[in-house]
Amino acid sequence: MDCATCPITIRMALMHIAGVSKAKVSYDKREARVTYDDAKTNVAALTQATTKVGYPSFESDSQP
Amino acid sequence: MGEVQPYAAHSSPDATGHSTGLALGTTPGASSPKHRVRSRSEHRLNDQTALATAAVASLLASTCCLLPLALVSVGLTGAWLANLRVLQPYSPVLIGIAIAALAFAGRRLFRSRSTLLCCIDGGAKPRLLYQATFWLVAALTLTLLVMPVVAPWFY
Repeated sequence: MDCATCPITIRMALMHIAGVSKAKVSYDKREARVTYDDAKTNVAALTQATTKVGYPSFESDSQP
Repeated sequence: MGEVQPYAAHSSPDATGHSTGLALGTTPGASSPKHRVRSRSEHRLNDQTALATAAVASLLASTCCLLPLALVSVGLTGAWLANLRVLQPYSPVLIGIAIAALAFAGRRLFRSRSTLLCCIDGGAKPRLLYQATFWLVAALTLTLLVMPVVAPWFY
């Protein structure tokens, strides 16, 4: 993720998922912070969504 | 201004079917400084080439950053979108080329009408199409320039 609009694309893809209420992408940290309802979706769906727009991701270890 | 060669007046139909007839005096300086001894089609070729270059450069520059966003916003997704980033390192160069080519192509647009030989009997149409294309490409290039500044607001 190197270009200025990449975070917008990723955020758009994440917000499209049912159950995601909030998504905030940090370009500097190459990180997205997603608030979601875990009854409706899960991390696998989130990472799949970002991969589907060209930005594969994985669950980060850092704590909120 | 350069020497003016004697130029016989004759008609030669150009691409649009209109014929050109130019008679210039044999003494230097007799021709008006605004009219040059060049064929009409050559003018058009240079400007159109510049405009085409600008259009191609700005379109290529937009594939890495604008195109994925546009595709995702209409719902067209796919992991192949990652391949669009292949042009990313060349993006600044492409934008620079687009700006330079636009400047060249736009030069004649902002001069007085009398120098636009292409439109004297071609009417307003070639000029309008050219202008429309010019402003479209200019808008795209401007978007590319402004994007890095504006994007963080949407993160």
